[in-house]
Amino acid sequence: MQEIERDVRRFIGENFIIDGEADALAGDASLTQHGVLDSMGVLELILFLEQRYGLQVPDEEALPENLDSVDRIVRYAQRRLAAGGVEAAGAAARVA
Amino acid sequence: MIPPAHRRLLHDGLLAHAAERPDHPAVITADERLSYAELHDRAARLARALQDRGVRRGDRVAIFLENSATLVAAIYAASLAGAAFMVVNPQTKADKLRYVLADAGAAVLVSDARLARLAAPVAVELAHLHTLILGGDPAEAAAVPGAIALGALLASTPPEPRPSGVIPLDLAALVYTSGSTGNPKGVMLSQQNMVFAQGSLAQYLRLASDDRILDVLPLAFDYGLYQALMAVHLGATLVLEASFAFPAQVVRRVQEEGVTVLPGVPTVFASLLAMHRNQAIGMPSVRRITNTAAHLPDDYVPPLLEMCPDALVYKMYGLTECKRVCYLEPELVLQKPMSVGKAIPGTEVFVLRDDGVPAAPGETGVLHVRGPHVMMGYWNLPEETDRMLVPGRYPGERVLCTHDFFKVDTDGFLYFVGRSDDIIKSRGEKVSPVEVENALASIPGVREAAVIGVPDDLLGQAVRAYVVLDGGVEMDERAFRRACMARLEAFMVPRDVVFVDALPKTDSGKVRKKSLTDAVADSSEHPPGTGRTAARDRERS
Repeated sequence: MQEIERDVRRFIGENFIIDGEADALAGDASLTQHGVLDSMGVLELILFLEQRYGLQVPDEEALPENLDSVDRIVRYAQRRLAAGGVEAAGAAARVA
Repeated sequence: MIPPAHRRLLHDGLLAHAAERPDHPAVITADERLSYAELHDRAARLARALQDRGVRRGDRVAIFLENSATLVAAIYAASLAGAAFMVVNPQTKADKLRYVLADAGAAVLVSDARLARLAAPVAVELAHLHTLILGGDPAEAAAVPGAIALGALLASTPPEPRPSGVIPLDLAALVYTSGSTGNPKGVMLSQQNMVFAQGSLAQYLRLASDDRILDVLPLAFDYGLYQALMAVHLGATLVLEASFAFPAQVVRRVQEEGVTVLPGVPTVFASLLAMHRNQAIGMPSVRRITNTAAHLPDDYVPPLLEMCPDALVYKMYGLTECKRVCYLEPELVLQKPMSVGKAIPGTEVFVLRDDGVPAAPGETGVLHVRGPHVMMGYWNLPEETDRMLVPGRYPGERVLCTHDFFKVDTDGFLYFVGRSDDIIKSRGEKVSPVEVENALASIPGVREAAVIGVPDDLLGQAVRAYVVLDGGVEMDERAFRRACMARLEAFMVPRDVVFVDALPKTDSGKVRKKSLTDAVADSSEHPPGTGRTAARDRERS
């Protein structure tokens, strides 16, 4: 399991569902439809991504195709990290 | 064909529109677009399937589903079969799901394979619950022991329900609402209660069959439910979203689908306005904006009108026990900024002092409501029912005593003053402090807890817990929060937790909530707790 996925699963496991279930959650399972995240949960997820990786998630990108499964979150974070050199450097500093 | 004047039952509108305008879109979701003919077909097949499995007039059919076309179809299926429906919020945890299904004595549970983890064990436990129907992935549904897969069931059943014998006085729905005693109460609504209310609402909102009504609210919440009922009543179109979790997506749907009616609670509008401040949003198709559940701050109105220049803004007030009490004519929003208006069409309200005398203008009293929308009572709770439904004008008549404090002005406009119970309104949803306290007390290591509401710009009120731990127990906020998430729907989970050594008590040993509330009101300190959402909002503003 790669690092971002591990981070995201840990965040979900610690904040939204009971122990052990975060790992069992299918990577492509909708987090909102499985009752893991509601609207406040999505805001907290965004805040987590912003703080953990130094990303800015613009309102118009806070969409299910970017955030509504573990796989989608990982892909979105990777894409944003790859796109922004400055952001990525900042994130590396934070992660380190 | 049933002419409008003769539509007495909830499903009569559906039957009429399926015959008259079969191809008109009835329900649009992210996954499906159902015409009136298709919605009717799905509802009629499910109704017959329910009857074939023994559902009789008056039986309770529980619907535990995300907002979806099937959820809407299941409501009408129950009505066509002569049963009463009850929609359970898909966020509900196992204990509460079991409680409401047992309380209602539900005969059937309609759910989804994705929720089977919760639904199936509860269904097995309850002897009165004889049928579990699961939508969603057919293979997953079929793999659940004892469950019937919805798709196969519909395919093998004709769209021909048998006459049920139901009349307008029969029970149409149970709507569960948080009570101050801790357990949710089932509000009993008759067919005639609901048919009357949907017509009254559509009348004052000035809606018509070409409207496209957005619904982002859970259908377990009567405000969300009535968007669907009004749409079908009118032959209009319901644009149904699973939730408001992704506001940008909702805005896109409004724009793409040409939504004309935008119902929300202040939290929904706060999110839209935060986005609008970052980057201007245009939703020119919107003609009506409706708000209820909590006061819409006056400074929201101008930016809402920037987003939706042709919209009329409605401020409203209601309670599940009669669906809606009053509304303010949108033309008066600026003249009567603090008022929630006057009684909805076909009903009346009056404010009475303690001694039963009508309050003079400016004087505070208790709001009473009279009309065909007043509930039948609470399911299985005769004492609670007698507290809320009091003798009315004519022998045998009962009016609703809301126990909420109101004033009227010299023009007869109503002003909300306060609640007489300690129910918290957060994100437009009712939170019972006792229900949350009971859940917190079940967390290992928690000795006792007291829960209050504290003012919050985004939520209306935020839930705050004061918690005393058992001696020697250490628990951080994160562990506490996880334990809460496992026991409570998200909107009930305390935003703030304050660990204390002891709670303020009265001489008789009851927690003195007023001391906690007063301390919050007096202090200018920053609220404790994560405040994560508040932090984000500050960032954005």
